[in-house]
Amino acid sequence: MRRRALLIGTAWTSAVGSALVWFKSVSGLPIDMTWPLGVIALGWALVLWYALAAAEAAAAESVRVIERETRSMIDALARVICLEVQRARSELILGDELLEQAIRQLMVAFESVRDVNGAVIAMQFRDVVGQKLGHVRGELDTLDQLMRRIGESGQENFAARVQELLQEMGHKKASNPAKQQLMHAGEVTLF
Amino acid sequence: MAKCILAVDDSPSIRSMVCFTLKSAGYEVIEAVDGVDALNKAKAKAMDLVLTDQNMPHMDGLGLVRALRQLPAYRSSPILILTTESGADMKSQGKAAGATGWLVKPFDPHRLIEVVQKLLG
Repeated sequence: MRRRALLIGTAWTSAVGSALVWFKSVSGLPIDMTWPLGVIALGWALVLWYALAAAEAAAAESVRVIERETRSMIDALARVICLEVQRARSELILGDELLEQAIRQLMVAFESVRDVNGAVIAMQFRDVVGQKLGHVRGELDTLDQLMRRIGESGQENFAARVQELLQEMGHKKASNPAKQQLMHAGEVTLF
Repeated sequence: MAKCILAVDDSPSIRSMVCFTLKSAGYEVIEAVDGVDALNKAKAKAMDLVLTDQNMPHMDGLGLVRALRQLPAYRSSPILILTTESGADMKSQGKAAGATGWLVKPFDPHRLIEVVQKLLG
């Protein structure tokens, strides 16, 4: 593009210069250089304007291509993540059911347990784990929603839209209500 | 006459365990499934102590504490929050709402009875 512009500009200058030389040789009159220089400058201005417009169009097309490719990558990523989220949800449901069964069995065996204190602490396991599972389910739901909304976004301002959704997700992130990592009894604070 | 404790939790297993623990220590226990249920029961009968979970549907523990503190009968009653939440920020909120204490789950039955006995005399 730059070479083409340079060639056109040079050709234009040569053409005006040649016209001047021919005019002088034919008419023999002195030439006021103001208007030929103005014509040459105008020609160059037009060439430059054309070159800039072409460069802008090329840049815009590159951006569109990059956006399309990024969009396809993100769509593919979103599909994969959605599938993984579905699988993780099913695993969580199964885990929850197994836990429920285990607790039911534990409750039945409760009568024969010698360490009643220990048994009561252990049986609260269901509540603590249940809250952790609930928190994980919530996180998965947020991720699932984010992926779907990315998938539904139009081509226009795609990058800005993704940024917006990521920020929204950041604000929505709830704190984990059950941070316990061990099954020791929790602390007591009297105000 | 046995002191009456209101045990509030949306988890039936936690309510059973709290009930079992406190009844074994000689207390009368009334159960509620969430803050709204607890508030209604607290208005219907004077409770000596309220033990509530934090994360519940309809009205959470902090909401219940604030609502109870508005009632003349519960201005200075002991109200304990029994919850999985252990963060300092949540505890501050509990204290600001008017709770008497903050117990983190899983609770130790012996410790729970100790605390209740200390508060009820």
